[in-house]
Amino acid sequence: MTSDSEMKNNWDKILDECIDRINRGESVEGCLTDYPEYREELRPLLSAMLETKTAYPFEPSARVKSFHRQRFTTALVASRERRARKRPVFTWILGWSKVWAPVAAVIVIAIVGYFGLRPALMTPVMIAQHSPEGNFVFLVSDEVNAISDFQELNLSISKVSLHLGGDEEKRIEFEPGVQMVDLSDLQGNRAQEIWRGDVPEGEYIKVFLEVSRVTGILLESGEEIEIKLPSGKLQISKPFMVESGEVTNFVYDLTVVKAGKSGQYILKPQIGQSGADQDFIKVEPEVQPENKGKSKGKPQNPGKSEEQSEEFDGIITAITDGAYNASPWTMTLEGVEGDVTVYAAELEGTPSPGAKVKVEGVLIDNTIEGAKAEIEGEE
Amino acid sequence: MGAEEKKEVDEQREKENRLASLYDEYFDKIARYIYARIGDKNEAEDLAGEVFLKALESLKSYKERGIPMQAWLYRIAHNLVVDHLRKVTKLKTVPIDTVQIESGEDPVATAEKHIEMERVNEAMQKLTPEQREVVRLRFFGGLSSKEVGAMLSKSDGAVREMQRAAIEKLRGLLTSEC
Repeated sequence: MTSDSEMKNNWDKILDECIDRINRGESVEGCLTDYPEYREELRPLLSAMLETKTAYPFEPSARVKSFHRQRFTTALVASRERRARKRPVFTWILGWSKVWAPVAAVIVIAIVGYFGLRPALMTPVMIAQHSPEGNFVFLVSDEVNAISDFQELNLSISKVSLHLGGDEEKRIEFEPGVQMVDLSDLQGNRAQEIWRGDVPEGEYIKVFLEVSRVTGILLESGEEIEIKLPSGKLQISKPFMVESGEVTNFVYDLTVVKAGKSGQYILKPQIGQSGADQDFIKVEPEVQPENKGKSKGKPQNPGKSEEQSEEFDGIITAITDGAYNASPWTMTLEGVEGDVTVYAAELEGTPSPGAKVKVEGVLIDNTIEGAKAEIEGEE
Repeated sequence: MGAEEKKEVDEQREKENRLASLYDEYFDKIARYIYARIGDKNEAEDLAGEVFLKALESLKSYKERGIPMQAWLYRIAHNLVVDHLRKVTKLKTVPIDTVQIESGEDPVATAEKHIEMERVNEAMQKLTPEQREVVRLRFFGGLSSKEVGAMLSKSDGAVREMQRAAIEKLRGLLTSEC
């Protein structure tokens, strides 16, 4: 036998379920059909609910939402950076426990003694922000050696680290806006800007260039070859200053040499031609000084190379660097096999998996960098 | 201490990721909930943005075993609304002449919409404060009864009961005013 309170409870649950369904976008009729025995009692209540709900029609603006999301993301990144500055990895190693701390310290000292101190692990890191008016310009150039053997020589740069010396040793990192450059266009004192932004003032003692890949096309045979790197990180120890009210132009010079015995090509930094005191002729990404009938390094600002830029429609498959990041993401593109990675330089809307997106940029090896992207909505 | 600290950092990062993942789904709902309370669309959008920033600031104090994170966001939204209403007490109800008129809208349809809004608003004022909050959180905020219960420290059964009583009252008021 069902008591009055049980009946009431059951009735409340049905009403509650119908409200949930209406909140999800279902119609009142849909719920009434599923509960024909309660139809007469449910209808007026659900109508009152719907009347109340629709009396306040409000669809927040996508532009404002995106603006606030940007503020939120900036605050999130800043909070993580503050935490990272407070807690370098070193403090974890020594901070496991009072018992383990001396052991860990001995191990660390032994490793440091054996392999040498690795400042990259010990130094607090700060991510520098890109800014077109920034106080620091980073350029890449090429000292003429074996470069004349190449029709093109493409260098993919993933990260640049600057080591700030002095009492507060710090590592300043940034991802270049232009991640691929063709060194064959940058011979002699020709240099291409790959990043401009703000870095702290002070004396810098080292510059690291993280290179993910170097490939070249030989002039004679047209063969594409992989160029050897002495290390994934190319280091230059050449101190320079970033001073108040001044813009520092740092030229990182690289050169490709042919090894005598093996005949292999090797890329290495050229310290003599690098530094903040070098004269250079700035090469803009869209400028093609010699028509070699080839495509130049990936232009990061599609607006600067309209002739190569294309429009693509697709659907985002995954945000590759955490849900809160705007890019990169991977997406499917009509007519392209496999997923394409997109780095957005200009973004309208909030990317999320399943969202339809219109991308404008240059597609090279399933990557579009510096894209203009417009999120159109969930698929 | 070190291991504990690392655990804390990991937990904080996990909470940040969860908060970020709630943004897309809950920004609009929170903005609607706020709009139903203050009647100003621009202000509602800005306060919804503030909710997420406040949540980020106070994330360390948020405990997973307490209320669900989305319900916690509404608690922050409620507090921001209370602060806002203190500043602009005249907007406690939504008088017809203060409601925004959107450009390009038919003025007759706009006037009718405002009359309907005012009518519902008057009916809402006759509910108890708790019933009103349940209606706002359920209808505009899109929270489940369980989440509303967690936020108001009530059982979900009690929330359902308050909800039914509120709708019955609204129905009576809205029908009698026709």
